[in-house]
Amino acid sequence: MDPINHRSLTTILTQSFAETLAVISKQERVSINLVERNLIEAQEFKSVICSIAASTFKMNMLLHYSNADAVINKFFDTINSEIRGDKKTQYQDYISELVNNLCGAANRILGYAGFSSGMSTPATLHISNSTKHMEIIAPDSEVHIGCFLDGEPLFFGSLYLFINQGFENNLTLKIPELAVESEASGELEFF
Amino acid sequence: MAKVLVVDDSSTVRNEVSSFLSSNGIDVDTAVDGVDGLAKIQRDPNLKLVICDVNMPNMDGLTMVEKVKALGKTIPIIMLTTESNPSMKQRGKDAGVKGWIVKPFNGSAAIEGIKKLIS
Repeated sequence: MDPINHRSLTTILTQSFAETLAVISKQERVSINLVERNLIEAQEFKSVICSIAASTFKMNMLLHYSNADAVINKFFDTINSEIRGDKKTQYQDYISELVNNLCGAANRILGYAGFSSGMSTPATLHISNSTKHMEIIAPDSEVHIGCFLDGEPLFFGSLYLFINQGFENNLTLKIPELAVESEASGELEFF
Repeated sequence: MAKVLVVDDSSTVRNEVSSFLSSNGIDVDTAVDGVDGLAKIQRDPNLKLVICDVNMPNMDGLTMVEKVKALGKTIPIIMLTTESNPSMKQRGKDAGVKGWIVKPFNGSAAIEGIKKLIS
């Protein structure tokens, strides 16, 4: 694991969570902390995946979430949104939109650092233990983060780096820590 | 009353944007993709603004904008999307998009611009 790439991956994941949660959540009750993978593997989570692809690398961002009623209630207690219709259906859609926003934030951070990359739309993984499946495809680096409400886990995120064949020894992701302000997320840019 | 069409395949985004606009006295209709959005733009003369996602099934947002332009419609359209790469924005500009909002939607940051477009 290249320490510079790992540090940059950490910055991207932390910054994308911080930027997105600053807009969507009641921040005073929410905290984010880096976590070890085994904390995610210890629980029964479903996952949604979104990917970023550049000419020299790929990244997979996963959001791990619980379908337990208690967690869903806590989740909707945390976000600045009204719920309409069936709570579970709305929750699933919100989780997909959340990983879309997180991946978009990560993609913008890469763009600011000079990398040209595109992103996929989110997809729900119909498997359990998605982190173990990710290990099978051997990421070059990985970072995990937890989002907590009043100290209790709400959901977790993982970001995986896969360096494309032929670039293993010469890709260095240089992402300056906290150098990126949100691209005025939510503001209307007139053309 | 000014009416805004919100086009997004995510019900979360449709609900959030609709709720915010309604609470600001703006009438709202919604569409689930570009096909649905294009149909509503063609048949509703009261629409004053369209807020549209880029990546959607069936017909994406920028294709919808291009089709609206090809129909000779001049309704202002702004994109609400996680996409922010320059080539995507340029395609939007070329198609006649009036503005770009990066998700997540932050109503208070966008409302002045939205009101300007529907006034």
